[in-house]
Amino acid sequence: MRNVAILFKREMLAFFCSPIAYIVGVCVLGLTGISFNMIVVILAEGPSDYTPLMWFFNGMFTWIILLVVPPVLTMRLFADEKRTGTIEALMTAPVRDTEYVAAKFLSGLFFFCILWLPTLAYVWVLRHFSQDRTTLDFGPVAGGYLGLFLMGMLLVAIGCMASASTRNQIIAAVLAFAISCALFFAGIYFYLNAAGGNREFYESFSMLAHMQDFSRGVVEWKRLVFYLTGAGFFLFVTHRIVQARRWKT
Amino acid sequence: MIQVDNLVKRYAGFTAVHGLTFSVQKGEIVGFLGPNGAGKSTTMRILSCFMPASSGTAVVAGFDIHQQSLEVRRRIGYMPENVPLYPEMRVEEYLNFRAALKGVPRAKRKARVGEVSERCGIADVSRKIIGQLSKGYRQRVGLADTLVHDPELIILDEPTIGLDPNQIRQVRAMIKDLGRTHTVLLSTHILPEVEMTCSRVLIINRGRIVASDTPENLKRLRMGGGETLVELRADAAQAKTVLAGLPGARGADVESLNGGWCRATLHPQREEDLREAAAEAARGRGWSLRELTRRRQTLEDVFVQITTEDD
Repeated sequence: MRNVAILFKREMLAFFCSPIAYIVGVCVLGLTGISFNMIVVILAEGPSDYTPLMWFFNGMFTWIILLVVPPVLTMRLFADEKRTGTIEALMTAPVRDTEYVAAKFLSGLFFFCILWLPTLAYVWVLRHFSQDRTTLDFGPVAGGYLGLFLMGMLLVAIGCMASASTRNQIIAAVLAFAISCALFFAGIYFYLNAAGGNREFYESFSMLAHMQDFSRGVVEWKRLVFYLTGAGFFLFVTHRIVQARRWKT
Repeated sequence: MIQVDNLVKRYAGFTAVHGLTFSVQKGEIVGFLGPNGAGKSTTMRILSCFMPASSGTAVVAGFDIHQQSLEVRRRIGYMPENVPLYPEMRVEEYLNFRAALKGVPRAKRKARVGEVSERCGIADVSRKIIGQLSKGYRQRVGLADTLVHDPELIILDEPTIGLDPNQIRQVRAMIKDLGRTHTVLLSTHILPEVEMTCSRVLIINRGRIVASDTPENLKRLRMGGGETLVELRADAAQAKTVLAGLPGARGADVESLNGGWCRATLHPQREEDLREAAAEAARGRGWSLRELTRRRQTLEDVFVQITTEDD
């Protein structure tokens, strides 16, 4: 555990020293800003069937961020250590492979969460300046952010796996993006085309459907289980890839 | 300190290390010598628990490298070839990070980092960003990192590669100094380095140990005495018969030079020093003599001889 904290600290330093983090940060702020602006415009036109949170969390920009940002954040994590050879210095120090993977994953997830922090300002602005205090409920806000966190967890874990499997950051990013998109669009496709009884089954892995629930403030156990096991699975694979170096051939 | 038993490492398609067996005692500075691709780096990576051997075992600092790898890693300092560092970190930050990872207690960390920085001559760049340092400084940061937790065994893979002659000297002096308190295993293909720093040499070729001895013994045992080089003013054919007939000489190669001079290379039968006899012979016949030297055997000769023997 102590090593995880030490490695985590270094990873955060590396994040804040890299230009990519700032570029991503600016893009996220820009996209969420546009999204927020659209919500305000819609709200100004009068009553709507959807709540602002449903607009925000299900908007196109949120999905762009969710699908693009985790691959970009995680691409460096493992691939760069292999490319520069620092993995050799790291793994000949008394560090377990699990600690290494855990620290990388947690730092990626933590940075992903930091990127969303500024959007809390939008929540405050809406609450503060709207006459109708029921525009924003605490439940859907918490649900929406929990949804972001859970999806972030899964997508960062996918990014870790992609990064661990190559020494080229670009390949890592593209691979993670491809897997994330496959998951996302397969979810939508089957969800929209499924008839009757199958609908619930397909809903269970459609991120879009999940987000609609989360942003209404509906959090079900099976959703938590889906994201936790999903992230767990990809981290397990990441760990095996890291460990493959130690297999006797 | 190190006990290696029949170590084998196979990669897909070829075997890098063929049944290596050797041991290193506490307090030795052992040089691992071999041509490129001989299996030096592979062996060091296995000993430092970066990757496992395909078969065979090794015990380092009293622990098995496969079963107790964490214990081994706590007790060794390993500097990989090319010294990988995080370019975005400051020197001080990096050493603190490494010290923490290697289990130096928080209270002692600052003192230890200061100590090794001083010892490796990087105290004046401790606030600099690693990416901006020159190769020589980076190498020293790497060396400081291997020492920061005061390991029992230090493993250095090509510690002087890419340095300028002054820096090479400094690093060698540092290694010699380390040898007083630590056990050191270093690899190199620079021969004078081994002669200057190591108490024992292991020559490895194609994944096998081909020689293991002190540098002096190796030179003596493998080559016998050196040849004697003579330059004199005489008829080449005549010089050849006279010089080849000297007691203790096995033969002589003579070539003519300009101005009536000729150069002869005398081969001794065993280790005889033929200089005196050659001088006497020249004086007896009234030949002028302008050069008389005995070629010193270098480890390079031994190395070339050993590593090309089975070709």
